[in-house]
Amino acid sequence: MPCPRLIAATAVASGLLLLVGNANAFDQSRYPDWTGAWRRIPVPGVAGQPGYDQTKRLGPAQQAPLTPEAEAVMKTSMEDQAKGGQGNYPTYICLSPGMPRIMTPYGAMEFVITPDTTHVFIEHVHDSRRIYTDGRDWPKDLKLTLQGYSIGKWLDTDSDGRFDTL
Amino acid sequence: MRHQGTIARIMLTAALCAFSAGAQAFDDAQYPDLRGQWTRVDGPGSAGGEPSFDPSKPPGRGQQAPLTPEYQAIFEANLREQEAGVPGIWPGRTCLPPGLPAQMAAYRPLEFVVLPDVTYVRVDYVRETRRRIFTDGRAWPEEVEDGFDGYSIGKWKDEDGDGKYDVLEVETRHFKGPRNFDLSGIPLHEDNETVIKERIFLDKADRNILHDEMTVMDHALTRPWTVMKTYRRSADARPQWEEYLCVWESKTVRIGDETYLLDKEGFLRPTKTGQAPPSVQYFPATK
Repeated sequence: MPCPRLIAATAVASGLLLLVGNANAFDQSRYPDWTGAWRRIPVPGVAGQPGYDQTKRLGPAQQAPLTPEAEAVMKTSMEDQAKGGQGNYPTYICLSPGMPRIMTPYGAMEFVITPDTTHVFIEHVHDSRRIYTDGRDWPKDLKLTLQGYSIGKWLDTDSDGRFDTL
Repeated sequence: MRHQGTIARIMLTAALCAFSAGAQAFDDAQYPDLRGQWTRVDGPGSAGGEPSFDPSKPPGRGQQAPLTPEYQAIFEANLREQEAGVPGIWPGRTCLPPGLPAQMAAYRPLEFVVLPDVTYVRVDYVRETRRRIFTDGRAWPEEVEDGFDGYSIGKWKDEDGDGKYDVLEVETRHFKGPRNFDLSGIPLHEDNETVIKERIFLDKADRNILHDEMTVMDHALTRPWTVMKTYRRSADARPQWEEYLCVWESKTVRIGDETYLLDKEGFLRPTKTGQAPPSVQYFPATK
């Protein structure tokens, strides 16, 4: 019965060829399809500029759990804005809002997924990000930025063989 | 010999499985490896200063730009202003993006992200730029919003016939301005009908060297102007990407159509003789 062995060997060889053939492939089907332009969804009944919690209006309605010191900073800022000033709002001079505000997002957002990095391109001031997914650790020396330094990990939470959560 | 049919079926099934599994796979090996951080290679003419459009020649007049007489006069006037201490017409000083072709001078490091449908070029200089070069076979759209980076369509080519792409050919149109060739202020035509063709490829002898052969066609020129830009890949596999915040780095202020210098004491200074000051009618009178 030599033939069953031959058949098995052929199947194994075919599998190996398949493996070798795709050794350098970036299998996009393992990642979620996030292509396209993404915009925030306005919440019905929440008027005005979007807040950090998009289900609530800006300002005190956000009910931010601030320390007393930060609460005072916000109060001063809002009083200044009520008088026509800009408060502690750096974006009006074209500084990036930085994280976490850049993920509001204020402009269209594009996700560019590669195995090592997911780029988040946002057409607004200076808001794009790199999320490193190559398994790196936090670097020892780092120049600080408004966007911060992001490390990510893809998860297959429903075990269907595809990543679904970053 | 009855098993030959069985073996053939297994091979066929394996091939079909391979096709199915690879249907959405992006075979990186088919494309050149452009990952990493790319820094410009200064040519002999740059003398360590700011890069010029043609890296092989000295800046300013030394570029020997093939300008029409009208645009040569504009360039000369701009050079005279710079020699007199005026900032010149480089848009980046007031935080306007340099756009193409200047941004490919790599004033800051470049990053290329190659995917089947798009090659992205990231540059963090003045404005954080995400240039998109569409390689999905699209035709020129009938309506395009003009941009400083223009609208780029590219095509990957396998010129040496080894089954792998080696050259990205790109054409870019649909610009807005103002734009210059480089910091010296070599002007592009105000009609913004520039067409730029590029051939981007890795050096055959050194895969850590990248070339961008760029040809600019513009109504400010008497003929197409072709130069070769060269970049070197960082040896650091995980380089840092520094942020460029123009409003923190700029020493000029643009108010309306006028540009003013901001001196060390925080005072506005004129940038040209006879320049009117900005209106201060909404400020309290000061002695």
